[in-house]
Order: sequence, then structure tokens, then C-alpha cells
Amino acid sequence: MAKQADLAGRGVFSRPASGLIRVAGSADVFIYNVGLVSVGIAIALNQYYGPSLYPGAGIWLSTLLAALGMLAVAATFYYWSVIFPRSGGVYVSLSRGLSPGFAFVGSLVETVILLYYAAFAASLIVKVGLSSFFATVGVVAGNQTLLDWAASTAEPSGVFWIGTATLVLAGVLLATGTRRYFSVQKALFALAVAGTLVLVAVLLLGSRDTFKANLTELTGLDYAGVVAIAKQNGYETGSFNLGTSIAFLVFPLLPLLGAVQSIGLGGEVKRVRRSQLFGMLGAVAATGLLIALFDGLAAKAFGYEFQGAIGFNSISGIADGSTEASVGASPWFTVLAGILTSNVLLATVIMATFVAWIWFWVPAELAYTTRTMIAWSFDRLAPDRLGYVSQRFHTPVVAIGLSTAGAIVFMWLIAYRNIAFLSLIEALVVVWGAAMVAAILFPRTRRDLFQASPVAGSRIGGVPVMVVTAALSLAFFALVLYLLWNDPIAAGPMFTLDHLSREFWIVLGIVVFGVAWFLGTRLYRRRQGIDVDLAFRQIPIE
Amino acid sequence: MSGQAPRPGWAAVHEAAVALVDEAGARGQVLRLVGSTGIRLHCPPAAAALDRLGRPAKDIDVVCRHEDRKGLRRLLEERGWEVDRDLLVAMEGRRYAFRHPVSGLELDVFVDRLEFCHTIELRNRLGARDVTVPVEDLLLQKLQIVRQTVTDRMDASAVLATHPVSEGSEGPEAIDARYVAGLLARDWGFHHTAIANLAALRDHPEGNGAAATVAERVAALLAAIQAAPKSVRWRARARVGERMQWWQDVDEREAVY
Repeated sequence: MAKQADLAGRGVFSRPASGLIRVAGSADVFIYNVGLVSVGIAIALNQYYGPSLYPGAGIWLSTLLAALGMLAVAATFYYWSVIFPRSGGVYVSLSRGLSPGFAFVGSLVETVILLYYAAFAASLIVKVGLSSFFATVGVVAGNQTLLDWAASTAEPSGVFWIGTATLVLAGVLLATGTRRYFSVQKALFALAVAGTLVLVAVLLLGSRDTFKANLTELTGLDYAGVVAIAKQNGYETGSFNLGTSIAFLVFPLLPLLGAVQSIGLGGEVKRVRRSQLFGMLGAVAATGLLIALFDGLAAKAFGYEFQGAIGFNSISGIADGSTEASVGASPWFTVLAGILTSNVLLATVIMATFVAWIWFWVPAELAYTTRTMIAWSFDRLAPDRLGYVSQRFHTPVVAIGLSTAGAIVFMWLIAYRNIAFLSLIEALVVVWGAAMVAAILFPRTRRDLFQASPVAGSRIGGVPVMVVTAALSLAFFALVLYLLWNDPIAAGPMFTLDHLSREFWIVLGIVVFGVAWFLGTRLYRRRQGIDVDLAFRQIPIE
Repeated sequence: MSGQAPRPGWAAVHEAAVALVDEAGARGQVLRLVGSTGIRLHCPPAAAALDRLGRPAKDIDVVCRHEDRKGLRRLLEERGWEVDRDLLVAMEGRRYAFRHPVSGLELDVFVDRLEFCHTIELRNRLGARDVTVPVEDLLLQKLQIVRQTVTDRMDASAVLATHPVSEGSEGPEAIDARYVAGLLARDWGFHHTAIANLAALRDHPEGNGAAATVAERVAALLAAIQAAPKSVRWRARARVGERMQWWQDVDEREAVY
């Protein structure tokens, strides 16, 4: 009976007692979300793939459209985090607002996808960050050792071992405690912002002619020649096109999805209403504007057509029209910026800044998935062991270890099998879309809880604002799903009548496993005398 | 909450609290009581007054040293206490909560310090007195609360009504004004909260029959606090004043996961 009482009593509004100092303030939440956006990854992907594969796309417009859609998502997640100020991500809102079974299976899918993206970010640290760092600084400094390092780090073994070391470092950081994690992130954030300001200055002050001269001097490439080679091989430049701009929005969307993930830390946030509002909506707005700004700066410094041409040559494997042969790295935005400076110190600052930006993604994803696992454990849907807290480190080392290990598996697949699970993002959009459906239904299906929550009074014309933002988010996700499904460059269909992708089998496998696990666990707990469904019946405030 | 044992009376709280401190001590662990239970144990004359005023028996709050956490948890679990897993994960070794399913008692364990609206470092003061932390810290725990409740004021009044204010360590039963003033002279925020609470105690005394005594001792404390030389940090923060929040937010203790 004690266990039953414990489950029933662990409601959102239960057991007020001696106060609790929560760990994360507004700044921590903001930095967590901005870190998950990873401005570095966003700019790198935008400027590499946008002008090259989506010629005519206004990268800045695509970014702002993605940010606009994410503002609605952020607002809905904000409402969820106020109604259920608990850690565990969308699992918490789905389990209490829609269906415990769906919540478990959906959040299991989400967890696996986010672990893939943690590994993906770690691989980008190596490829876009370190390899480009060594290559660019090596070229600028004329240092062959750095150029050799650039080549060796880009090898599969380099990607795997350095990526794995990055994941382990992130896991160790989380294992040393959330307070330390936030302190480290704050310090790195300050450095990343400072480095970004340096980069802005470099792009603002650097001229196109300087870039052309440095490009020839450092890489042997001719600016006009790069464009000509691309055109000879089929690259078509286009004038601004709204449709292409909309089609491209899924690229900036991928990093921007991170801007709302502080929902996963809900229980650890102080003054949840203020912190999550500032942390989520602020992160979407700030990063959206910053990433869009860099498109303008890049266009000024390098030229839109040139970025498209050199990216096209790189992706197409045209060696004499790209930087791989001369620099040893793909023409990522950072490489071009390093060439523009032609200065060892500035190039080092720029490249280090991008490594820092990409790093944020790794521990933040692991933190999110760890909290989902603990929430499962506390709801008795996963073994108690998953929520085990080390008496030495005082942190949930099993959940952290499992998250890290899961990401390392994906790291191996990325490094040695060159696997890119692009369409997995479609499954994530479906899971998050379900959280929007739950938000639309919640004021009716869980009327008592909604009315007791602090958001009950937020209405437009009598309709809860949460319902409005959720409906807008759902429409946005539907557009995103359509774009992803019909764009083989960005993702492509997860399945068709003729073809079932690897991602489809992965998701299907997770779903089958998740359903079996949920039903089996519920039965097992019932035999223990525990009704796990009690955990999902929250107690409204009295 | 359904399924819980009825709230135990003061006698049960008292007995369990003292036994716990003794048992921990026998194992070489330093454990001291704080909170209202600590005040009632430290101020026996006030306990009767608090009973008359309907101040209910509270849960047990204790402070331990960080190196004693593991052993203390083992001791408690041997005695049937169940740890709150949610808080165990959320607080990462800075605080624990236990519940005894048979007695219905609840126990909060703080590590090295009390962290609420303001932080009170206790690590170096845990061994200074038997059973509870020193009386100054019992008082400071009540003075650090930004929005005091009636019971908080009753507890603070009880300490002041039963302990004289001294200008130094004149024995365990006097409030060391120099210690209190010295601590507040380093932290403007804590100082700001504490003097507001002391002034409220002086101006709106709780009905424990010792209003004059309390007012006199509050005045002595305020004078000492005012006279203490302030740190550079204190003065710098004072220039900002109330334009910036001067306390930590304390949330209700709800489920984190």
C-alpha cells in the first residue's frame, strides 16, 4: 500500500513541504536551449547546403520562417512546462495529457532519435569543428603537422574515437552534477558569444576582394574559376525564390528544434513561468535572428553564388573546384571565414568558437534523454535501477551511462558505416506533433487539471492560448513533415509502397519493443500489487 | 494524502529526533537538529508556549557533514526510513528526504549548509553544541525567510524570548550578536531580509507573553548588526539595493520527475 500511496502522492501539486532550491535559473534555461540550437551547426549547414542545393533560396528567410513556426511550438511547450513543471520532456505531458502507453512508446522513439543526434553532433565536432580547425589554421599558418592532423581526424577512426571521447566527456560532465554542468555551459557560452562577435567583425570588415586574394594564395583556387567549374558541372544559380526558401526551411529547423528542449528539465527550473518563457521563446527568437544574420554576412563576404558553387563542387566531389584537395576540409562556413582572415589567431578563435557551439548540443541531448529515462523509472515503467543514484557522485549514473552508451553505438554507425538517418527527424516531428494534439485536447479531457493550473486564465476570445499555439504548431509540423517527406535531399520518405527505409525499420522496431515493454511492465507491476496507472492521475491543486 | 500514517505528535518527533542524533553520534557521524524541532529542543520553556499557541509538531530537519552522507543513509535505511528517490536525483547529494512508513515521520537531511532564501553555512559549527546547531543558527534559519509565516515568527520569537543576546560567546544559551552581525555584514541580501524580519518581530510581536523581552533583544541584535563593519562586497551590493532580487527563489517541494 505504501507503494501505491507513493505513486498516487507524487502528483504535480502534492506534498508541499520545506522549500526547494531548484538548479536552473532563466539564464541556465536560455543557455541550455541556445546550446541545443547550436548556432555553429545551424550556420554551417545553412551556408553549405542552402546556396548549393537550393539555389534561389533566401537562407535568411528560410531561417526566419523556421523560427516563426518554432515560436508557436515554444509557446505550447512553455504551457506544458507550466502545467507539469517536471523533468522528463514530452513523456510527462503525453503520459498525463494523452495516453501513458503512447507517451512511453513515443518518448522511447524520441530518446533513440535524440541519442542519434547527440552522436551526429559529436561527429560534426570532429568533421566540421576539429578537422576544419586543423586544416584552416594549418593552411593559414603553413603548418604541415596541423594539415596532417586534419586528414587523420577526418578518417573514420578519427571520427569514431574523438566523437566517442566527446560523448564520454559530456557524460562525465553530467555525472559530476547538474550545477557543474550549468556552470561549465555558462563559461563556454560566454566564450562562444565572444568568438561569434569576433566572427561578425571579421565578416563585416573583410572585403570580397580580400577573400578572393586569400583564397588564391592559401588554396590555389580562383574565385571565378570555382563558380565556372560548378556551372560546367550542372550548378544552376537562381534568383530569389519563395518556394525554394520554404522548401529549405527544414534545414535551419533541425537545429532550431533544440530551442524548446528545456521542457525536459521542467522540474529543475526556478520560477518556471519566467524562466521557461524567456528560455524557450527567447532562444528561438535570438538564435533565429542570429543565424539569419549570418546569411547576410556570408553573402557580403563570400557571395551567395560562390558559396553555392563551392558547396556544389564539394558535394559533387569535384576536387579542382573545392577546398578538400588544398585545405583538407570541406568548404564549411568556418573554413571560408578562416581563409578570409588569413590570420592564425583570428582563424583559431573562429574555429574554436564553432567547436564550442557544436559541443553544446552533445551534453544537452544526453541530459534530456537521461531525464526521460528517470521519469520512466519513477513511473515504474522502467527498472528502478535506471533511476539509481550513485552514492559517490550523487547523480543518476546508470541513466547517464545508458544514454552515453546508446549515443556511442550511433557514433560507430556514423563513423564506420557512414550512416545518416535523415528521415528519423520525421518520427520526431510526429511525436512532438502528438504533444500538440494533446495540448489541444487537454483543456477538455483533463479539465480539472487544466483549470487548476496557472495557465487556465490565458485565453484569446475564450479559447485557451495553449490550444491556439498548439493548433498553429500542429499545422507547422504538418508542413514540415510534408517538406521532409517530399525532399530526398533533406530526408525523403520514411516509407513508400515500394520501399521501406532503414529508418522505417528502426522506428518500427522501437515501437514494437516499446508497446511490448509497456504492456509487459504494466502486467508485471500489477502482479507486484502496483497499479502504474495511478502515477498518471495527477492531483489538481486544492 | 491517502495511505499515510497519521501525523505523529511532538513527543514522538522529539524522541525520534534525539535518538537519531545519538545513534549517528555513536557511529562517528555529526548530525544536528535544525528547524522548528531544533528550536523546541533548544528552548524547552518555549515548547510549552508553542503548544499552547497551537504550533503543531513538525517533521525532523537535520544537518550533516558531506562525508557522513553515505553512513547516515545506511543508518536511516537500517532503521526503516525510506529515501525520497525523486529528491535523491534532483538534489544531487545536497539534500535528502526520508519518510518512515510506520511512524509517519518525515525527515529532511541537509548537507553542510541550509539553502533557502539565503544560505547558512553550518559545516564548521555542527560540533559546537549537542543535539542542535547553535542557537544563533536556529534564529538565523528563521530570519532568512523572505516571506515568513506566522509559525516562522513564533519560532523566532521563542528563540529570542528564551535566550539573551550577548556581545560574544558567553555560553551556549546566549545569542552571540557578534557572530550574527559578522555573518550579515558579508551578505547584503541576507542582512536586508534579516533586519526586516527582526523589525517585524519587534513591531508585531507574536503572543507568547514575552513581547517586551523579545523587543529588547531584537533591539540589541539590530544595534550590533548596524555597528558591524561591512565588507566591500556588502557595500557594493547595497548600492544596487532592491532593484535586483536579493534572495534565492524557494519553490514548494513538488515532484521533480
